[in-house]
Amino acid sequence: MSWIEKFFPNVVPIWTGDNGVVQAIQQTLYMTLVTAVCAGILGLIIGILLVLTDQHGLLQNDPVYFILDKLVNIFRAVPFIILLAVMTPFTRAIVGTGIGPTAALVPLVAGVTPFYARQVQNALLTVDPGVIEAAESMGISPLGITFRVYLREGLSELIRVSVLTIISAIGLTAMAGAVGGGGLGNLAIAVGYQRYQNDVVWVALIFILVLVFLVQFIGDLLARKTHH
Amino acid sequence: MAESVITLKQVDVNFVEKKRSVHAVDHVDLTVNRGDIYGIVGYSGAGKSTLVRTINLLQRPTSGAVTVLGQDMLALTPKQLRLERRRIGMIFQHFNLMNSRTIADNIAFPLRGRKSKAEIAKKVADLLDLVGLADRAGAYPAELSGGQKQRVGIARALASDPEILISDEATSALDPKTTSAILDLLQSLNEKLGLTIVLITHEMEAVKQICNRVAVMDEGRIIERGDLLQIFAQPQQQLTKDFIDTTIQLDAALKSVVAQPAVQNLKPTDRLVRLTYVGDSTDQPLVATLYKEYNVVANILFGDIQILQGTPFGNLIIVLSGAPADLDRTFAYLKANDVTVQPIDPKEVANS
Repeated sequence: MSWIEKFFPNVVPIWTGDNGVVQAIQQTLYMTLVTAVCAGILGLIIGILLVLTDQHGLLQNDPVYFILDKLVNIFRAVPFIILLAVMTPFTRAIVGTGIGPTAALVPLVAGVTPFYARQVQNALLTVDPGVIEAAESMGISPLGITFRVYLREGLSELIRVSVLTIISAIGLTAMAGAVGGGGLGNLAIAVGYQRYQNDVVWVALIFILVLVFLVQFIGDLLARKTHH
Repeated sequence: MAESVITLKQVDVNFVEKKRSVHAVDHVDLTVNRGDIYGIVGYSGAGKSTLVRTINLLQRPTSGAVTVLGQDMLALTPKQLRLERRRIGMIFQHFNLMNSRTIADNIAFPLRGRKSKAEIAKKVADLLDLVGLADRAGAYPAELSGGQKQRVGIARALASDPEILISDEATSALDPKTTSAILDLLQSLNEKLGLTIVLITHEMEAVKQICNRVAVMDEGRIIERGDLLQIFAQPQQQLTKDFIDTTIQLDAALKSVVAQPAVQNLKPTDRLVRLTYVGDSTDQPLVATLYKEYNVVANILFGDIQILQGTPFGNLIIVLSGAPADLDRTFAYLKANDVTVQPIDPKEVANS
Protein backbone atom coordinates (compact mmCIF):
# COMPACT_ATOMS: atom_id res chain seq x y z
CA MET A 1 0.00 0.00 0.00
CA SER A 2 3.03 2.24 -0.24
CA TRP A 3 1.82 3.98 -3.39
CA ILE A 4 -1.16 5.30 -1.49
CA GLU A 5 1.13 6.77 1.11
CA LYS A 6 3.31 8.13 -1.63
CA PHE A 7 0.61 9.86 -3.65
CA PHE A 8 -1.85 10.70 -0.85
CA PRO A 9 0.40 11.48 2.16
CA ASN A 10 -2.11 13.83 3.79
CA VAL A 11 -5.16 11.63 3.20
CA VAL A 12 -4.02 8.57 5.11
CA PRO A 13 -3.89 10.17 8.61
CA ILE A 14 -7.34 11.76 8.24
CA TRP A 15 -9.07 8.78 6.65
CA THR A 16 -11.14 7.98 9.72
CA GLY A 17 -12.17 9.96 12.78
CA ASP A 18 -13.77 13.36 13.24
CA ASN A 19 -13.69 15.51 10.10
CA GLY A 20 -12.08 12.58 8.31
CA VAL A 21 -12.69 11.40 4.75
CA VAL A 22 -15.10 8.62 5.70
CA GLN A 23 -17.15 11.02 7.79
CA ALA A 24 -17.18 13.55 4.96
CA ILE A 25 -18.50 10.89 2.59
CA GLN A 26 -21.21 9.97 5.08
CA GLN A 27 -22.16 13.62 5.54
CA THR A 28 -22.41 14.21 1.80
CA LEU A 29 -24.51 11.06 1.35
CA TYR A 30 -26.74 12.05 4.25
CA MET A 31 -27.32 15.59 2.98
CA THR A 32 -27.87 14.43 -0.60
CA LEU A 33 -30.27 11.65 0.35
CA VAL A 34 -32.43 13.66 2.75
CA THR A 35 -32.49 16.62 0.35
CA ALA A 36 -33.44 14.34 -2.55
CA VAL A 37 -36.33 12.83 -0.60
CA CYS A 38 -37.68 16.08 0.92
CA ALA A 39 -37.14 18.35 -2.06
CA GLY A 40 -38.26 15.48 -4.29
CA ILE A 41 -41.66 15.22 -2.65
CA LEU A 42 -42.15 18.99 -2.27
CA GLY A 43 -40.89 19.77 -5.77
CA LEU A 44 -43.08 17.09 -7.30
CA ILE A 45 -46.17 18.48 -5.60
CA ILE A 46 -45.39 22.08 -6.58
CA GLY A 47 -44.46 21.04 -10.12
CA ILE A 48 -47.75 19.17 -10.52
CA LEU A 49 -49.68 22.13 -9.09
CA LEU A 50 -47.95 24.45 -11.54
CA VAL A 51 -49.05 22.26 -14.46
CA LEU A 52 -52.62 21.82 -13.21
CA THR A 53 -53.26 25.47 -12.33
CA ASP A 54 -51.58 26.89 -15.42
CA GLN A 55 -53.66 28.51 -18.14
CA HIS A 56 -55.41 25.70 -20.06
CA GLY A 57 -54.47 23.37 -17.17
CA LEU A 58 -56.97 20.87 -15.83
CA LEU A 59 -57.61 22.99 -12.72
CA GLN A 60 -56.77 26.42 -14.05
CA ASN A 61 -56.40 28.79 -11.10
CA ASP A 62 -54.66 32.05 -11.93
CA PRO A 63 -53.94 33.28 -8.34
CA VAL A 64 -52.47 29.95 -7.22
CA TYR A 65 -50.35 29.69 -10.35
CA PHE A 66 -49.17 33.28 -10.00
CA ILE A 67 -48.06 32.81 -6.38
CA LEU A 68 -46.33 29.46 -6.95
CA ASP A 69 -44.64 30.70 -10.10
CA LYS A 70 -43.28 33.81 -8.40
CA LEU A 71 -42.13 31.91 -5.29
CA VAL A 72 -40.23 29.44 -7.45
CA ASN A 73 -38.61 32.28 -9.36
CA ILE A 74 -37.60 34.18 -6.23
CA PHE A 75 -36.04 31.18 -4.51
CA ARG A 76 -34.23 30.19 -7.66
CA ALA A 77 -32.82 33.69 -8.00
CA VAL A 78 -31.08 33.64 -4.59
CA PRO A 79 -27.48 32.35 -4.77
CA PHE A 80 -27.24 29.28 -2.57
CA ILE A 81 -24.39 30.54 -0.41
CA ILE A 82 -26.55 33.56 0.52
CA LEU A 83 -29.60 31.36 1.07
CA LEU A 84 -27.54 29.40 3.60
CA ALA A 85 -26.86 32.56 5.53
CA VAL A 86 -30.26 34.26 5.41
CA MET A 87 -32.11 31.12 6.37
CA THR A 88 -30.19 30.57 9.60
CA PRO A 89 -32.92 31.87 11.98
CA PHE A 90 -35.53 29.87 10.14
CA THR A 91 -33.30 26.80 10.21
CA ARG A 92 -32.83 27.11 13.96
CA ALA A 93 -36.59 27.30 14.41
CA ILE A 94 -37.15 24.15 12.40
CA VAL A 95 -34.31 21.76 13.31
CA GLY A 96 -33.16 23.42 16.55
CA THR A 97 -29.62 24.19 15.42
CA GLY A 98 -27.89 26.56 13.04
CA ILE A 99 -24.82 24.47 12.32
CA GLY A 100 -23.97 20.96 11.19
CA PRO A 101 -25.19 18.72 8.36
CA THR A 102 -28.77 18.72 9.64
CA ALA A 103 -28.81 22.53 9.73
CA ALA A 104 -27.57 22.54 6.13
CA LEU A 105 -30.58 20.43 5.13
CA VAL A 106 -33.10 23.25 5.51
CA PRO A 107 -31.45 25.65 3.02
CA LEU A 108 -30.59 22.67 0.80
CA VAL A 109 -34.25 21.67 0.58
CA ALA A 110 -35.26 25.32 0.15
CA GLY A 111 -32.74 25.72 -2.67
CA VAL A 112 -33.40 22.44 -4.48
CA THR A 113 -37.22 22.34 -4.22
CA PRO A 114 -37.96 25.28 -6.56
CA PHE A 115 -35.36 24.04 -9.02
CA TYR A 116 -36.91 20.58 -9.04
CA ALA A 117 -40.46 21.98 -9.17
CA ARG A 118 -39.61 23.85 -12.39
CA GLN A 119 -37.96 20.74 -13.82
CA VAL A 120 -41.03 18.65 -12.97
CA GLN A 121 -43.28 21.25 -14.55
CA ASN A 122 -41.27 21.18 -17.77
CA ALA A 123 -41.13 17.39 -17.72
CA LEU A 124 -44.90 17.07 -17.38
CA LEU A 125 -45.48 19.65 -20.09
CA THR A 126 -43.77 17.29 -22.54
CA VAL A 127 -46.75 14.94 -22.16
CA ASP A 128 -48.82 15.23 -25.34
CA PRO A 129 -51.81 17.54 -24.61
CA GLY A 130 -53.80 15.34 -26.99
CA VAL A 131 -53.40 12.39 -24.64
CA ILE A 132 -54.60 14.54 -21.74
CA GLU A 133 -57.59 15.59 -23.81
CA ALA A 134 -58.34 11.98 -24.70
CA ALA A 135 -58.34 11.06 -21.00
CA GLU A 136 -60.65 13.98 -20.28
CA SER A 137 -63.00 12.83 -23.02
CA MET A 138 -63.17 9.44 -21.29
CA GLY A 139 -64.40 11.05 -18.09
CA ILE A 140 -61.21 10.58 -16.06
CA SER A 141 -60.92 12.95 -13.07
CA PRO A 142 -58.09 15.52 -12.79
CA LEU A 143 -56.55 13.42 -10.00
CA GLY A 144 -56.76 10.31 -12.16
CA ILE A 145 -55.20 12.14 -15.10
CA THR A 146 -52.38 13.41 -12.86
CA PHE A 147 -51.39 9.96 -11.64
CA ARG A 148 -52.37 7.77 -14.57
CA VAL A 149 -51.41 10.03 -17.45
CA TYR A 150 -49.07 12.86 -16.45
CA LEU A 151 -46.84 10.91 -14.08
CA ARG A 152 -46.98 7.75 -16.17
CA GLU A 153 -46.42 9.25 -19.61
CA GLY A 154 -43.89 11.76 -18.26
CA LEU A 155 -42.00 9.15 -16.23
CA SER A 156 -38.85 8.84 -18.33
CA GLU A 157 -38.61 12.63 -18.53
CA LEU A 158 -39.19 12.82 -14.75
CA ILE A 159 -36.35 10.38 -14.16
CA ARG A 160 -34.10 12.47 -16.37
CA VAL A 161 -34.80 15.71 -14.47
CA SER A 162 -34.55 13.91 -11.12
CA VAL A 163 -31.02 12.76 -11.96
CA LEU A 164 -30.18 16.29 -13.04
CA THR A 165 -31.55 17.66 -9.77
CA ILE A 166 -29.75 15.13 -7.53
CA ILE A 167 -26.46 15.92 -9.27
CA SER A 168 -27.06 19.62 -8.77
CA ALA A 169 -27.93 18.92 -5.10
CA ILE A 170 -24.61 17.10 -4.67
CA GLY A 171 -22.99 20.27 -5.98
CA LEU A 172 -24.85 22.38 -3.44
CA THR A 173 -23.82 20.14 -0.49
CA ALA A 174 -20.26 21.17 -1.24
CA MET A 175 -21.19 24.63 0.05
CA ALA A 176 -22.70 23.25 3.25
CA GLY A 177 -19.31 23.67 4.91
CA ALA A 178 -20.16 27.33 5.28
CA VAL A 179 -22.57 26.42 8.07
CA GLY A 180 -20.47 23.59 9.43
CA GLY A 181 -22.29 21.00 7.42
CA GLY A 182 -19.12 19.13 6.60
CA GLY A 183 -19.10 16.83 3.62
CA LEU A 184 -16.67 16.27 0.76
CA GLY A 185 -16.82 19.86 -0.46
CA ASN A 186 -15.87 21.11 2.96
CA LEU A 187 -13.06 18.55 3.11
CA ALA A 188 -11.67 19.78 -0.18
CA ILE A 189 -11.76 23.47 0.77
CA ALA A 190 -11.22 23.59 4.56
CA VAL A 191 -8.63 20.83 4.68
CA GLY A 192 -7.20 20.37 1.22
CA TYR A 193 -7.18 23.85 -0.26
CA GLN A 194 -6.51 25.95 2.81
CA ARG A 195 -3.67 23.72 4.07
CA TYR A 196 -2.16 23.33 0.60
CA GLN A 197 -2.87 19.57 0.71
CA ASN A 198 -3.73 18.99 -2.93
CA ASP A 199 -4.02 15.22 -2.51
CA VAL A 200 -6.97 15.78 -0.16
CA VAL A 201 -8.66 17.95 -2.80
CA TRP A 202 -8.20 15.21 -5.37
CA VAL A 203 -9.59 12.49 -3.12
CA ALA A 204 -12.66 14.60 -2.32
CA LEU A 205 -13.13 15.26 -6.02
CA ILE A 206 -12.82 11.58 -6.93
CA PHE A 207 -15.47 10.55 -4.42
CA ILE A 208 -17.86 13.27 -5.61
CA LEU A 209 -17.35 12.18 -9.21
CA VAL A 210 -17.96 8.55 -8.29
CA LEU A 211 -21.19 9.58 -6.58
CA VAL A 212 -22.32 11.65 -9.58
CA PHE A 213 -21.55 8.88 -12.07
CA LEU A 214 -23.37 6.37 -9.91
CA VAL A 215 -26.51 8.54 -9.84
CA GLN A 216 -26.26 9.10 -13.59
CA PHE A 217 -25.81 5.38 -14.26
CA ILE A 218 -28.81 4.34 -12.16
CA GLY A 219 -30.91 7.10 -13.73
CA ASP A 220 -30.04 6.03 -17.27
CA LEU A 221 -30.85 2.45 -16.39
CA LEU A 222 -34.29 3.39 -15.04
CA ALA A 223 -34.99 5.74 -17.95
CA ARG A 224 -34.24 2.99 -20.44
CA LYS A 225 -36.57 0.61 -18.62
CA THR A 226 -39.50 3.03 -18.79
CA HIS A 227 -39.04 4.03 -22.42
CA HIS A 228 -41.10 2.29 -25.10
CA MET B 1 -89.78 10.64 -36.10
CA ALA B 2 -86.10 10.10 -35.51
CA GLU B 3 -84.82 10.52 -31.97
CA SER B 4 -82.34 13.33 -31.68
CA VAL B 5 -79.30 12.42 -29.56
CA ILE B 6 -77.34 15.64 -29.93
CA THR B 7 -78.93 19.07 -30.02
CA LEU B 8 -76.88 22.22 -30.15
CA LYS B 9 -78.86 25.46 -29.93
CA GLN B 10 -77.29 28.79 -30.82
CA VAL B 11 -73.90 27.53 -29.66
CA ASP B 12 -71.30 30.26 -29.70
CA VAL B 13 -67.60 30.02 -28.87
CA ASN B 14 -65.53 33.14 -28.54
CA PHE B 15 -61.84 32.93 -27.69
CA VAL B 16 -60.56 36.12 -26.13
CA GLU B 17 -56.81 36.36 -25.83
CA LYS B 18 -55.09 39.64 -25.13
CA LYS B 19 -57.44 42.02 -26.92
CA ARG B 20 -57.72 39.68 -29.89
CA SER B 21 -60.98 37.82 -30.04
CA VAL B 22 -61.63 34.84 -32.29
CA HIS B 23 -65.18 33.86 -33.07
CA ALA B 24 -64.54 30.14 -33.57
CA VAL B 25 -68.17 29.03 -33.54
CA ASP B 26 -70.87 31.48 -34.51
CA HIS B 27 -74.35 30.69 -33.18
CA VAL B 28 -74.63 27.20 -34.58
CA ASP B 29 -77.73 25.01 -34.41
CA LEU B 30 -77.15 21.31 -34.97
CA THR B 31 -79.30 18.23 -34.52
CA VAL B 32 -77.93 14.73 -34.85
CA ASN B 33 -80.34 11.80 -34.79
CA ARG B 34 -79.76 8.33 -33.38
CA GLY B 35 -78.03 6.14 -35.94
CA ASP B 36 -76.78 9.04 -38.03
CA ILE B 37 -73.31 9.23 -39.43
CA TYR B 38 -73.21 12.99 -39.52
CA GLY B 39 -70.38 14.54 -41.49
CA ILE B 40 -69.18 18.04 -40.72
CA VAL B 41 -66.89 19.22 -43.46
CA GLY B 42 -64.85 22.40 -43.76
CA TYR B 43 -61.35 23.70 -44.25
CA SER B 44 -59.04 23.84 -41.26
CA GLY B 45 -59.86 26.83 -39.11
CA ALA B 46 -63.55 26.65 -39.99
CA GLY B 47 -64.39 25.82 -36.37
CA LYS B 48 -65.34 22.15 -36.81
CA SER B 49 -63.11 20.84 -34.02
CA THR B 50 -64.25 23.54 -31.63
CA LEU B 51 -67.88 22.85 -32.50
CA VAL B 52 -67.74 19.11 -31.81
CA ARG B 53 -65.83 19.72 -28.57
CA THR B 54 -68.87 21.56 -27.26
CA ILE B 55 -70.75 18.26 -27.47
CA ASN B 56 -68.74 16.67 -24.63
CA LEU B 57 -67.79 20.06 -23.19
CA LEU B 58 -64.08 19.68 -23.80
CA GLN B 59 -64.86 23.19 -24.99
CA ARG B 60 -67.43 25.12 -23.01
CA PRO B 61 -69.56 27.31 -25.26
CA THR B 62 -69.57 31.04 -24.57
CA SER B 63 -73.34 30.87 -24.94
CA GLY B 64 -75.97 28.47 -26.18
CA ALA B 65 -77.47 25.16 -25.12
CA VAL B 66 -76.01 21.66 -25.45
CA THR B 67 -78.28 18.64 -25.02
CA VAL B 68 -76.81 15.18 -25.40
CA LEU B 69 -78.84 12.01 -24.91
CA GLY B 70 -81.56 14.05 -23.27
CA GLN B 71 -79.13 15.63 -20.81
CA ASP B 72 -78.56 19.36 -20.51
CA MET B 73 -74.77 19.17 -20.46
CA LEU B 74 -74.20 22.68 -19.15
CA ALA B 75 -76.24 21.96 -16.01
CA LEU B 76 -74.03 19.07 -14.86
CA THR B 77 -71.59 19.10 -11.95
CA PRO B 78 -68.00 18.11 -12.86
CA LYS B 79 -68.61 14.61 -11.53
CA GLN B 80 -71.87 14.17 -13.42
CA LEU B 81 -70.18 15.50 -16.54
CA ARG B 82 -67.46 12.84 -16.25
CA LEU B 83 -70.11 10.13 -16.05
CA GLU B 84 -71.92 11.59 -19.04
CA ARG B 85 -68.69 11.73 -21.06
CA ARG B 86 -68.44 7.95 -20.86
CA ARG B 87 -71.48 7.81 -23.13
CA ILE B 88 -69.64 9.89 -25.75
CA GLY B 89 -66.53 8.26 -27.22
CA MET B 90 -63.98 10.30 -29.10
CA ILE B 91 -61.21 9.50 -31.57
CA PHE B 92 -58.52 11.87 -32.76
CA GLN B 93 -56.38 12.75 -35.76
CA HIS B 94 -53.16 11.89 -33.95
CA PHE B 95 -54.69 8.92 -32.12
CA ASN B 96 -53.57 10.22 -28.69
CA LEU B 97 -52.56 6.83 -27.36
CA MET B 98 -50.38 6.45 -24.30
CA ASN B 99 -46.92 5.42 -25.42
CA SER B 100 -46.01 3.99 -22.02
CA ARG B 101 -48.83 1.45 -22.11
CA THR B 102 -49.44 -1.62 -24.24
CA ILE B 103 -52.33 -1.78 -26.67
CA ALA B 104 -54.38 -3.81 -24.21
CA ASP B 105 -53.60 -1.37 -21.39
CA ASN B 106 -54.55 1.58 -23.56
CA ILE B 107 -57.93 0.04 -24.25
CA ALA B 108 -58.38 -0.97 -20.61
CA PHE B 109 -57.43 2.55 -19.45
CA PRO B 110 -60.96 4.02 -19.23
CA LEU B 111 -62.24 0.90 -17.44
CA ARG B 112 -59.69 0.59 -14.62
CA GLY B 113 -61.35 1.04 -11.27
CA ARG B 114 -64.80 0.81 -12.77
CA LYS B 115 -64.94 -2.92 -13.45
CA SER B 116 -63.34 -6.09 -12.13
CA LYS B 117 -60.06 -7.33 -13.62
CA ALA B 118 -61.77 -10.30 -15.27
CA GLU B 119 -64.49 -8.14 -16.81
CA ILE B 120 -61.89 -5.73 -18.15
CA ALA B 121 -59.81 -8.54 -19.65
CA LYS B 122 -62.87 -9.93 -21.40
CA LYS B 123 -63.95 -6.51 -22.68
CA VAL B 124 -60.46 -5.72 -23.99
CA ALA B 125 -60.28 -9.06 -25.79
CA ASP B 126 -63.69 -8.45 -27.38
CA LEU B 127 -62.73 -4.95 -28.48
CA LEU B 128 -59.40 -6.10 -29.93
CA ASP B 129 -61.35 -8.68 -31.91
CA LEU B 130 -63.84 -6.10 -33.07
CA VAL B 131 -61.14 -3.82 -34.51
CA GLY B 132 -59.07 -6.71 -35.86
CA LEU B 133 -56.01 -6.40 -33.61
CA ALA B 134 -56.36 -9.51 -31.44
CA ASP B 135 -52.74 -10.49 -32.08
CA ARG B 136 -51.23 -7.14 -31.05
CA ALA B 137 -52.50 -6.92 -27.45
CA GLY B 138 -49.01 -6.85 -25.92
CA ALA B 139 -47.46 -4.42 -28.41
CA TYR B 140 -46.72 -0.78 -27.68
CA PRO B 141 -48.19 2.02 -29.82
CA ALA B 142 -44.76 2.83 -31.26
CA GLU B 143 -44.75 -0.61 -32.91
CA LEU B 144 -48.01 -0.04 -34.80
CA SER B 145 -48.83 1.59 -38.13
CA GLY B 146 -51.08 4.64 -38.28
CA GLY B 147 -54.12 2.62 -39.25
CA GLN B 148 -53.53 0.15 -36.42
CA LYS B 149 -53.12 3.02 -33.95
CA GLN B 150 -56.46 4.44 -34.99
CA ARG B 151 -58.04 1.01 -34.52
CA VAL B 152 -56.71 1.05 -30.96
CA GLY B 153 -58.12 4.56 -30.57
CA ILE B 154 -61.51 3.29 -31.72
CA ALA B 155 -61.40 0.28 -29.40
CA ARG B 156 -60.50 2.55 -26.48
CA ALA B 157 -63.31 4.96 -27.33
CA LEU B 158 -65.75 2.04 -27.37
CA ALA B 159 -64.59 0.60 -24.05
CA SER B 160 -67.29 2.31 -22.00
CA ASP B 161 -70.01 1.32 -24.49
CA PRO B 162 -70.79 4.84 -25.68
CA GLU B 163 -73.87 5.65 -27.72
CA ILE B 164 -72.14 8.44 -29.60
CA LEU B 165 -68.71 8.51 -31.23
CA ILE B 166 -67.05 11.79 -32.15
CA SER B 167 -64.40 11.45 -34.81
CA ASP B 168 -62.09 14.46 -34.97
CA GLU B 169 -60.27 14.21 -38.32
CA ALA B 170 -59.63 10.58 -37.42
CA THR B 171 -58.52 9.63 -40.92
CA SER B 172 -56.68 12.80 -41.88
CA ALA B 173 -53.25 11.44 -40.94
CA LEU B 174 -53.78 8.18 -42.84
CA ASP B 175 -53.15 7.16 -46.45
CA PRO B 176 -56.20 6.72 -48.73
CA LYS B 177 -56.33 2.94 -48.47
CA THR B 178 -56.11 2.94 -44.67
CA THR B 179 -58.60 5.80 -44.52
CA SER B 180 -61.07 3.73 -46.45
CA ALA B 181 -60.57 0.72 -44.18
CA ILE B 182 -61.07 2.83 -41.03
CA LEU B 183 -64.22 4.38 -42.52
CA ASP B 184 -65.52 0.90 -43.30
CA LEU B 185 -64.91 -0.05 -39.69
CA LEU B 186 -66.81 3.02 -38.46
CA GLN B 187 -69.69 2.20 -40.77
CA SER B 188 -69.86 -1.39 -39.54
CA LEU B 189 -69.87 -0.14 -35.92
CA ASN B 190 -72.72 2.18 -36.84
CA GLU B 191 -74.66 -0.76 -38.22
CA LYS B 192 -73.69 -3.40 -35.63
CA LEU B 193 -73.87 -1.32 -32.47
CA GLY B 194 -76.30 1.37 -33.55
CA LEU B 195 -73.54 3.86 -32.78
CA THR B 196 -74.28 7.46 -33.72
CA ILE B 197 -71.19 9.01 -35.30
CA VAL B 198 -70.25 12.65 -35.73
CA LEU B 199 -67.41 12.79 -38.19
CA ILE B 200 -65.49 15.95 -38.81
CA THR B 201 -63.14 16.08 -41.72
CA HIS B 202 -61.77 18.23 -44.49
CA GLU B 203 -62.03 15.31 -46.90
CA MET B 204 -65.34 15.18 -48.77
CA GLU B 205 -64.25 11.72 -49.88
CA ALA B 206 -64.70 10.45 -46.31
CA VAL B 207 -68.12 12.06 -46.02
CA LYS B 208 -69.14 10.57 -49.34
CA GLN B 209 -68.10 7.08 -48.28
CA ILE B 210 -70.09 6.72 -45.06
CA CYS B 211 -72.16 9.73 -44.02
CA ASN B 212 -75.91 9.95 -44.42
CA ARG B 213 -76.08 13.58 -43.44
CA VAL B 214 -73.64 16.38 -43.93
CA ALA B 215 -73.07 19.96 -42.82
CA VAL B 216 -70.60 22.35 -44.43
CA MET B 217 -68.82 24.76 -42.11
CA ASP B 218 -67.09 28.01 -42.90
CA GLU B 219 -65.89 30.73 -40.54
CA GLY B 220 -67.67 29.25 -37.55
CA ARG B 221 -71.03 28.84 -39.26
CA ILE B 222 -72.84 25.97 -40.86
CA ILE B 223 -73.47 27.36 -44.32
CA GLU B 224 -75.28 24.37 -45.72
CA ARG B 225 -76.65 21.08 -44.44
CA GLY B 226 -78.84 18.21 -45.50
CA ASP B 227 -78.97 14.58 -46.59
CA LEU B 228 -75.86 13.44 -48.39
CA LEU B 229 -77.64 12.91 -51.71
CA GLN B 230 -79.47 16.19 -51.52
CA ILE B 231 -76.22 18.05 -50.88
CA PHE B 232 -74.42 16.28 -53.70
CA ALA B 233 -77.33 16.74 -56.11
CA GLN B 234 -78.15 20.35 -55.35
CA PRO B 235 -75.34 22.14 -53.58
CA GLN B 236 -76.28 25.75 -52.99
CA GLN B 237 -73.05 27.30 -51.75
CA GLN B 238 -69.87 27.68 -53.76
CA LEU B 239 -67.82 26.11 -50.94
CA THR B 240 -70.05 23.02 -50.97
CA LYS B 241 -69.61 22.75 -54.72
CA ASP B 242 -65.85 23.04 -54.32
CA PHE B 243 -65.85 20.24 -51.75
CA ILE B 244 -67.93 18.02 -54.00
CA ASP B 245 -65.62 18.70 -56.92
CA THR B 246 -62.67 17.44 -54.86
CA THR B 247 -64.26 13.99 -54.87
CA ILE B 248 -64.34 13.82 -58.65
CA GLN B 249 -61.09 15.66 -59.32
CA LEU B 250 -63.01 17.89 -61.67
CA ASP B 251 -60.45 20.67 -61.75
CA ALA B 252 -57.72 18.43 -63.09
CA ALA B 253 -60.18 16.80 -65.50
CA LEU B 254 -61.40 20.13 -66.85
CA LYS B 255 -57.87 21.31 -67.61
CA SER B 256 -57.07 18.23 -69.67
CA VAL B 257 -60.50 18.29 -71.29
CA VAL B 258 -60.17 21.80 -72.66
CA ALA B 259 -56.79 20.90 -74.13
CA GLN B 260 -58.37 18.20 -76.27
CA PRO B 261 -58.89 18.84 -80.03
CA ALA B 262 -62.64 18.27 -79.65
CA VAL B 263 -62.78 21.38 -77.50
CA GLN B 264 -60.12 23.37 -79.32
CA ASN B 265 -62.07 23.00 -82.59
CA LEU B 266 -65.49 23.66 -81.13
CA LYS B 267 -68.05 24.84 -83.69
CA PRO B 268 -69.94 28.05 -82.82
CA THR B 269 -73.15 26.12 -82.30
CA ASP B 270 -71.55 23.43 -80.14
CA ARG B 271 -72.06 23.66 -76.40
CA LEU B 272 -69.50 22.50 -73.86
CA VAL B 273 -71.42 21.69 -70.67
CA ARG B 274 -71.15 19.84 -67.41
CA LEU B 275 -74.07 17.61 -66.48
CA THR B 276 -74.69 16.58 -62.87
CA TYR B 277 -77.36 14.10 -61.95
CA VAL B 278 -78.39 11.90 -59.07
CA GLY B 279 -80.38 8.71 -58.83
CA ASP B 280 -83.47 8.26 -60.98
CA SER B 281 -82.39 10.52 -63.80
CA THR B 282 -79.60 8.11 -64.57
CA ASP B 283 -81.97 5.21 -65.07
CA GLN B 284 -82.76 6.55 -68.46
CA PRO B 285 -80.23 6.16 -71.21
CA LEU B 286 -79.52 9.85 -71.34
CA VAL B 287 -77.14 10.13 -74.25
CA ALA B 288 -79.19 7.82 -76.44
CA THR B 289 -82.35 9.82 -75.72
CA LEU B 290 -80.69 13.06 -76.70
CA TYR B 291 -79.76 11.64 -80.06
CA LYS B 292 -83.00 9.76 -80.77
CA GLU B 293 -85.51 12.31 -79.54
CA TYR B 294 -83.74 15.61 -80.06
CA ASN B 295 -81.25 14.91 -82.79
CA VAL B 296 -78.44 16.17 -80.59
CA VAL B 297 -75.06 14.42 -80.59
CA ALA B 298 -73.35 14.16 -77.23
CA ASN B 299 -69.61 13.68 -77.18
CA ILE B 300 -68.54 12.58 -73.71
CA LEU B 301 -65.15 14.04 -72.80
CA PHE B 302 -65.10 13.15 -69.14
CA GLY B 303 -67.33 11.03 -66.99
CA ASP B 304 -67.48 10.12 -63.34
CA ILE B 305 -70.22 8.08 -61.76
CA GLN B 306 -70.10 7.26 -58.08
CA ILE B 307 -72.49 5.35 -55.89
CA LEU B 308 -73.64 7.31 -52.84
CA GLN B 309 -75.66 5.24 -50.40
CA GLY B 310 -76.66 2.95 -53.24
CA THR B 311 -77.66 5.79 -55.54
CA PRO B 312 -75.65 6.79 -58.59
CA PHE B 313 -74.22 10.30 -58.68
CA GLY B 314 -72.91 11.28 -62.10
CA ASN B 315 -70.81 14.05 -63.52
CA LEU B 316 -70.27 14.33 -67.26
CA ILE B 317 -68.44 16.88 -69.33
CA ILE B 318 -69.83 16.70 -72.83
CA VAL B 319 -70.01 18.58 -76.08
CA LEU B 320 -73.57 18.85 -77.40
CA SER B 321 -73.86 19.39 -81.16
CA GLY B 322 -77.10 20.11 -82.98
CA ALA B 323 -79.41 22.79 -84.32
CA PRO B 324 -79.98 25.68 -81.88
CA ALA B 325 -83.67 24.88 -81.53
CA ASP B 326 -82.90 21.23 -80.79
CA LEU B 327 -80.34 22.26 -78.22
CA ASP B 328 -82.88 24.47 -76.44
CA ARG B 329 -85.35 21.60 -76.29
CA THR B 330 -82.57 19.36 -75.00
CA PHE B 331 -81.79 21.69 -72.13
CA ALA B 332 -85.46 21.87 -71.22
CA TYR B 333 -85.63 18.07 -71.24
CA LEU B 334 -82.57 17.78 -69.04
CA LYS B 335 -83.91 20.30 -66.59
CA ALA B 336 -87.22 18.49 -66.39
CA ASN B 337 -85.30 15.33 -65.49
CA ASP B 338 -83.35 16.96 -62.65
CA VAL B 339 -80.09 17.02 -64.52
CA THR B 340 -78.11 20.15 -63.70
CA VAL B 341 -76.52 21.74 -66.74
CA GLN B 342 -73.61 24.13 -66.36
CA PRO B 343 -72.04 25.73 -69.40
CA ILE B 344 -68.25 25.67 -69.44
CA ASP B 345 -66.14 28.39 -71.02
CA PRO B 346 -62.92 26.73 -72.27
CA LYS B 347 -60.98 30.01 -72.23
CA GLU B 348 -61.84 30.62 -68.60
CA VAL B 349 -60.73 27.13 -67.61
CA ALA B 350 -57.47 27.42 -69.55
CA ASN B 351 -56.68 30.73 -67.88
CA SER B 352 -57.59 29.75 -64.34
